[in-house]
This record gives sequence, C-alpha cells and structure tokens, in this order.
Amino acid sequence: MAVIEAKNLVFTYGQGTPFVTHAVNNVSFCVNRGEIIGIIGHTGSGKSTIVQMLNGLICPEDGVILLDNNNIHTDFKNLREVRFKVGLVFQYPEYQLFEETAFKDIAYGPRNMGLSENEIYDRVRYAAKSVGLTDELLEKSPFDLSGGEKRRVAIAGIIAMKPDVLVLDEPTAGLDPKGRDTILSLIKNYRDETNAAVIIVSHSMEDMAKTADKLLVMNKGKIEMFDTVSSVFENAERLTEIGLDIPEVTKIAVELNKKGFKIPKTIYTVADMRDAIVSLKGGNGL
Amino acid sequence: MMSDITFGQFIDTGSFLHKLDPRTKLLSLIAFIVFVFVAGNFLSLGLLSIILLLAIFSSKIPVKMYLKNLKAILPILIITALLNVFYTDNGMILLDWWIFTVTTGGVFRALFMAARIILLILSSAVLSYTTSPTSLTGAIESLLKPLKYIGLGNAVHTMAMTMTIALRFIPTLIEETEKIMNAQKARGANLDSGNVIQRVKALLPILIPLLISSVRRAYELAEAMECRCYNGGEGRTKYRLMRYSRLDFVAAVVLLFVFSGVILLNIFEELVLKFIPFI
Amino acid sequence: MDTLINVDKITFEYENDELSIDVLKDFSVEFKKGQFTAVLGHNGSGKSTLAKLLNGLLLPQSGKVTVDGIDTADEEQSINVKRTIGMVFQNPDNQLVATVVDEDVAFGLENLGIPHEEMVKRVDLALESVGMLEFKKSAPHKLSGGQKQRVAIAGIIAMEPKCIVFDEPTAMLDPRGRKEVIEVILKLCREKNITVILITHYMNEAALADRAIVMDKGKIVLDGEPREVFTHIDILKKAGLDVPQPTELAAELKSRGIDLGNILSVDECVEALTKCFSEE
Repeated sequence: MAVIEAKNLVFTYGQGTPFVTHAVNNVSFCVNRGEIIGIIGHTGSGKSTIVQMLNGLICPEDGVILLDNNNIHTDFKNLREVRFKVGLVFQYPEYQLFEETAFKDIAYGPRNMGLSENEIYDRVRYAAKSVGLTDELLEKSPFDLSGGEKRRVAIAGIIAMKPDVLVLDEPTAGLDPKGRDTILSLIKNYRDETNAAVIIVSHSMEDMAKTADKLLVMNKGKIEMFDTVSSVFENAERLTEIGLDIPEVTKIAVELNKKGFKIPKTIYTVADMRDAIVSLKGGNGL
Repeated sequence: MMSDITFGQFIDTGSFLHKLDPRTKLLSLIAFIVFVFVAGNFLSLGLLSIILLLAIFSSKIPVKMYLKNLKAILPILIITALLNVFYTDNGMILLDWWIFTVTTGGVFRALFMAARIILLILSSAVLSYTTSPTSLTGAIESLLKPLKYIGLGNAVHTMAMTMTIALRFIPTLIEETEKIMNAQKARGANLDSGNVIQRVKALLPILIPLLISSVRRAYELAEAMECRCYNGGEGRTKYRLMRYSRLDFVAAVVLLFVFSGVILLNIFEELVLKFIPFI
Repeated sequence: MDTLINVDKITFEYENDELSIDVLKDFSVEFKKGQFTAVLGHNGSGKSTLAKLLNGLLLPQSGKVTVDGIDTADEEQSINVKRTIGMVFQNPDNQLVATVVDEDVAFGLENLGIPHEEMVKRVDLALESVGMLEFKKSAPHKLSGGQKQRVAIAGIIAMEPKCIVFDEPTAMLDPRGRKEVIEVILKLCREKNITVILITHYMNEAALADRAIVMDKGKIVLDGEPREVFTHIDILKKAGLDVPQPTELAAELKSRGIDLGNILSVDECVEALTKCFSEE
C-alpha cells in the first residue's frame, strides 16, 4: 500500500524570463511502507526539488502529492502536519543545530508537534538510540560534537517526529567512509524497526546499490528509470550515457560483456562478481 | 531565486556611462545631490532633470528599470507631497475643508519636493546601474586615499576590504538563510503566527545557526586569506586600475556647466522668466 | 629527487580540547619535489592538522617543519613559506574573497605586490590552466561547486607556488565537480611540475598519485606506491577507509586461486580478467 504518491508533478524555474527550465517535468511515482527508494541524478536533475515538494516546502505548479491517499495541499489542516509525517533531512543538516544541548535540539521537532513533556522525553531517547548517541553526548552542546555525531543528532531530530516517510537529501555528503557506513546502516535499521518508507537522494550509485530496494533515476527533470536495483543496472550503458557513475564492479561486468564474456551486468557487489568469475572460470575449465 | 537579489544592481550594457571612471561617477553623484538641494526653483531643477534624463537614456538601460525604483518609493513620495501640501499656506486658497487648507503655494511646494526626491532616487539609480559594487568600493578606497596623511591609511584599506567581503558573501548568506529556514520548517517551525515575542523566539532557530555558520565562514576565510599571503594593506598592488580618461574630463566639464547654470538660474530667476513670457 | 618539505619529529596538540584526537606525536615525513602524494585517513586521523602544519598555518609545539630550507616557525619568512606552499581548502565558498572571478584570482598577487602588467598576465594564465577563462567576469556565487573550487585553485596557481596542498578539495562536490577538480590537479602535477599533496578519503583519487600515505590516530600506518599500499586491505579497513572495488575483487579472487596481480583500476582489472579467461 503506497504511503506517499506523487502524481504528474511539474515545476519550472525562471518563469517569465527567457530561461525557463523544467526542474521537474511530469514526474509520478509511489513509495510503499517499508521500502527504501534511492533517488539518483545529477545536480540540477530535479532531485532536490522533488523532495522539497514531498513535504510541501515547494508547491508543485501542477500535479498532486498524496499522503495516505490525502492530498497534502488540500486535505490537511496545515502543511506543518504534513511535515511531521514526511520528515525531511536536508543536505548538511548539522548546520541547522541551534540548541544548548543535543537533547534539546532533538526535542525541537517533537515540541513543535505540541506533545507532552513525557512524550517528548521518550521520543528523544528513542531517536538518540536509533542513531547511536550515548546519554553523555546528549547532554553536550551540539557544537562540541564531531562532524559525524552532529549529523546523527540532526537526523535524530527528524526521527524523533516518527515520520511515516523519512526523506534524506544527500545524508552522507562530506563524511568519511566510516561515517558514511554508519549513517546508511542506521537508516536501514530505522526502516526495519518502524516499517517507514525511506527516500534517499544521493550521488553515489555504490551507496544506493548497497542500501536501496528500488532506484529512481532522474535525468533533466524527468524519470529515466524506476525499478529494482539490479534491473536498473541492467541498463548500465544508459546510466553512463546520462553521465551517472555506476559501481566499478558493474563497469567491469559491462566491459567483460563487450568482450563476449557472460558476466551478468546486474552485478554490483564485489562478492557477487567474485562468484560470477569463479563460476565462469570453473565452467570454462570443465 | 532569492539569491539573485543583491543590493548591487549593476547591469553591464557597455554604454559610455559604464566606461566612466567610478570615481568620476561617485563624485558627480555627490555633487548632483548637493545641487538638487541648491536648486531653488523649477527652472534650475528643470536643468538638472534634463541632464539626468540624458544620462538615463545614454545608459542604455531600459527606462522600465528606473521606473521600478520610483515605484518602490511611491509611498514616501506621496506622504512627503501631502505633508507639504497641508503645511504650506501661502498663495491662493484652492480648497478649505475642516482642518485642511490647500493653497497654490502648497501645491507648488509639494511638486517641488516630490521632484527633488525623484531626482535623488533616479540619479542614485544611474550610478548603481552603471557601476559594479566592486568598482564602487575601489572608488571609495581611492577617493579616501588622502586620509593616509593623517594616519588613517590602514583604516581605509580595512574598510574597503570589509566592504568587498560583505558584497561577496551577501548572496551566499541569503542562500544559507533560505536553506536554514526550510530546514527548520521541515521540523515544524512556525514562523508566521503568534505575537511579537513568540515570533522573535521562533526566529532563534534560524538566527543561531546563521550566526554560527557565519563565524565559521569568517574563520575559514581568514585562514584562506592568510594562505594567500594577506598581510593588511601595506605593500599591496592593485589589479583593478582606475584611470581618468578624456571621457571623464568631458563629463566633468559638462557637469560644471550644468551646475553653474543652476546657480545662475537661482540668482536670475526673475530675469529669465521675463524672457520667457509664456511661463 | 630533492626534498621540498621535511617534517622532523614534530608534536602537535590542540589546546583546550578534552578529546584531543587530532594529535601528532613524534611525527616525521618528507615530501619530494615534483611528486604527487595522497594522504589518506578518516576524519580525525590528523591529516588536516598535518596539512596546516606544512605551510605554517599551524606551528608544531616541538620538532621542526622545513620548507625548501626555511623553518616554518621563522616569522620573518612566513610569507615566503606560504608563497612556496599554496593551500586549497574543502569549502569552495569560504576561500573566495572578491565579487568577480578574475579579481579573486588576483587577490594573492595583490598581497605579494606583483606589478600590474605581470598580474594581468598571471591571472589569465592561471584561469586558463584550470579551464575557467571564460568565466573571468562571473560572480563566484553563480558558479557550481566544482567551478568555484577551480577558481580557488587558480588563485593559488597565480602565486606560482612550488607545491600545493589540497585539503579534501572534493569532499563537498558532486561527482562532476569532483572529476573536474581531480583533472586539474593531475594536470598541474604532470604538466606544470608542481608538487601536489592531496589530503582525501577517496581511494580512487589516491590511486592516481605517485605515493600514498595512510594515517590513523596521528601515525603513518602505510606509506608507498598506491599499488602496493592498496594490497593491505586489512590495515586500510582498520584505518576506516574503503578499498577500491577492483582491488578488493582482485584480492577476493586471489583467495579463490585466481591471481590477477595488483589491480588499481577498472581498466587494469578488465585487462587482467580478459587475459585470465583467454588462457583457458
């Protein structure tokens, strides 16, 4: 059952100037509970515009967004209610931290929801636990934390609102490999625990191959592909054509295919590639 | 988008006004403003208007752009005009109702004040449309150079540097403010309802991150400047050279004539009026 | 090859920092002229601190950093050190000073008191070498991240340093910007013979270097040619780094009895596998 559905979204920039660009051009998709969707595309492909439409920060010029079959612009009292249900974590979210302690900062969202102090306390603890923040860190000023910790506090600030849809714009930008892996695995854990729908915007095909169930590939404001990860990689050549980076093992598979070796192009992990090569090699030998 | 708005309104059309030295333009504007106040009657103001219109047309910038500036100050224009209409009571009475008295003197005075404001706004617009903020900063620095003889050389350089950095970062900070506002809205921030205290309080989640990020930017910029051998104003050379050309000379001479004209018209108003009997 | 930078038994600790992870103790390393060195490590491994010590932005509490024979602690020579070792930072926005691209590139030259005619020449040359000449009159805030970073690099190149230290120059860029910047860095090193020290955590960037240094907890744990360094998969993973997929694949295959040799890139891997399959 689709928790959030986008229907024929349209948005243009520079209306009334000679430089009208279709940031988003007739985009439709739906996301089910418990799914992780990776949105991939270039800077300027419309990704960021789409995610800001999902929680009503940008109003589409045409088309509707349905949250549990309710139009977010007409069927809710106000957009704030939508925003508590569709939690959006911006790019570099640590720059939005402002409270004296990490605890208070995470409590900002729940407090805006008008919850009781007890409920707020529970939610902050819950969110802190899901992103792996210790009690000691919660009492510190968010500005004394390391980069990766700040990012997790910021994500906890959204998780504490217990959104049905968690949207993250480039959640791993600027992090080192360790920090990146931590963030991606905590996002997966959140999905597993709550069965929420998760939408991640990313530049990294490799990260999304590891994390997402389905990929939504954007190109020039339109949906280029929307399918399971391996089906998307089946069109690896097309991905390279629109200038997206595919995982290096997939590149190897594509190249080997060109040379006539039967390696599935849908491979995107080192382990699968290893097995494919071993079996091909073994098959040849026999 | 919002970040397109800067208070520099520079539009490069390559007209001769654009080619003038920014110091010439800045000094001319200052002199022009002084003479707008020196001008004591419609005749001298008219002379100033003619030269301003010439400047506007030769800037090759659509007149619409100039009118936009006037539209913005329309309320001020109207208020000033009304105040002058009601507070001046010489000349013929045109209307007398309750506490309001409108006289010919009042109407003339209102029109005169409005014309002055329009001239001020339009002349400033000519400067800002034809001069980039950067060259304006350079002009101010160059014009204030003599201050070094009273030991303020470094202060002038620091001020110019500060202005340049401010101009450079205003668009960046506007963009950042927008981003932080959206991020807090996504957490349910309520920015547009409640009483004054509630609203000010609601702004803290935006102002604090903005302040912190500005401090961080300042720190990083200082480091980058140090790495690029910045060491204050001493021993610095200039990339952007300013040279007065013949154009500047011509402009200065023309303006001198105009300003002398203003003074003459002020003094010999009656005489001139005699020669133009139909006014 | 001659040594350009010599870091000799230095100690550095941040003051008022209860955590003090970013510490270098009894740390020594040398950088040779003309070489492209990548310094790898996770955040907090001490790599950025090292970068700032190389041009005297930070001074060691003990020990000595020598740049082209000059001690970075010598205050009178501080400008010369910074002139020799240029530095490009992570955030492209926070290192551009002026409102127009060419004026920004000229900033360092103005500081050095370079005569005007020379300055004009150098600005154009620098912008050309990073492929940004056509944006000479643009405002920095209208450029993409990669373009801004290239302008920042031009501002350093114009000062004609012997060495440029890049402190995670691609961390905040999208893949396209990352590619643009890396191409420029390679060009500087190969064509202009500028010594490059690239601080990064992207392994595919390090693979392009002549030498890779891996840092962990303020110490050098690996140092050598990338091809050699990348074979130590365990140490790399322990240091919080990725291993390029082709390298990891080669290691995995080796454990299954298929030896492709040391592999760094996709092309090498495809070539080795083709050979391997054709042998049958």
